[in-house]
Amino acid sequence: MADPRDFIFNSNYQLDKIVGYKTDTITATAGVNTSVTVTTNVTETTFYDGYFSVDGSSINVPLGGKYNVSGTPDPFGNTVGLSCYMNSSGSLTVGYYNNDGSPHTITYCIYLIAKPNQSALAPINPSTGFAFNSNYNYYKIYQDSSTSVTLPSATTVGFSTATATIAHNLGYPPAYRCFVEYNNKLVQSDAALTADSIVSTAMSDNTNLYVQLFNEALVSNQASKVVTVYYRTYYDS
Amino acid sequence: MTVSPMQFQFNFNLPALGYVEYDTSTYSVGARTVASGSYYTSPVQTISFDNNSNLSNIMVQLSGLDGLWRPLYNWGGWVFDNSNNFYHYNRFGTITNGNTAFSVNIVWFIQDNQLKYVVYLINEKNVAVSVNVPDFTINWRVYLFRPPT
Repeated sequence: MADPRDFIFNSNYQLDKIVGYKTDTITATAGVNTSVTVTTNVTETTFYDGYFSVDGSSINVPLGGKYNVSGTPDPFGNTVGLSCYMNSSGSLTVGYYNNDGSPHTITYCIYLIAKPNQSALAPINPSTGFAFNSNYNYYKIYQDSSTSVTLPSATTVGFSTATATIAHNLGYPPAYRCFVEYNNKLVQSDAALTADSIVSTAMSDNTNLYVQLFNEALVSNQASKVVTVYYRTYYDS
Repeated sequence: MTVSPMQFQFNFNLPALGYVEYDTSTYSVGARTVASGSYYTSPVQTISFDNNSNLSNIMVQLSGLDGLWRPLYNWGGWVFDNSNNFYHYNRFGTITNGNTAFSVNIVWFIQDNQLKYVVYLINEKNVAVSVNVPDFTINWRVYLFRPPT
């Protein structure tokens, strides 16, 4: 069989499909740290990805990131941040903060991407642009599934951890997307479900994909939790 | 009309998420000794692209540490223990434990066809000792997405 990576698209393989799109502007007053829940065109969780910018800057920051108001890649000083998770109803809870002394305008854009076993839905109108463009490459899906992980309880101040190890055996570290689901919320790996004290990180090598979960007992003891890990690996590398 | 997205390999009603890939240059910070309660900051590094993109999937490999590939959000880092093995993920400096040694944090953003980044090496020990961070190489893999607008 030919190497799937030799094709930009091959009808033998699934690819990422955009099922929704959400963009909006938030005015973040000085010192604010809060969230807003917004509806989307879907009624259940999907995968997602996105970015935001601040005050019309040409600097684009990924979801879960922070923007330093100085316009430099500096983690210290005054920052504006935005992150989100998806609720089982299909709404997005968008958390944002501004620890600068001045208000800032945040513009975010979030793409909704079909997850495995996504229910039938009304597609968005692509209106402009292309549904497919051969100038680009396309992730070709290799594995698309989920697994359950039990996080042990954790005592303040500490954490417990558990890892989902998914064998891919591709012989190279593939591209991937991972999401963590708990308490009717779906969040990207390497982002946090802060209210549920869950953090995750994903890693890969030539053989496996690892999604490590942490039950963070920073301020109070945490009970054992059962978490669903969605993983999608691609032939692309 | 409704569509079951994963019933089709491709469906014109469901725009596909295309990308352009860049296997970019590597960067080595060099071996560093970081004093207690302190951190090292690299100079700003730049990776140039042919085109700008708002949406990206960026992965890095820390070769010389545990060698694994990781997705790179622009904030947060990885804590390593005294044997240079991955110990914990953090959102920038929340874990201080006797087992930890240092964290690698890469802060970045994309602007004007360039990815700009700075590497921070932070002493994560909660005792008054310095830590030796070994030389390691950051290998970059950048996917710039081209979603329909």
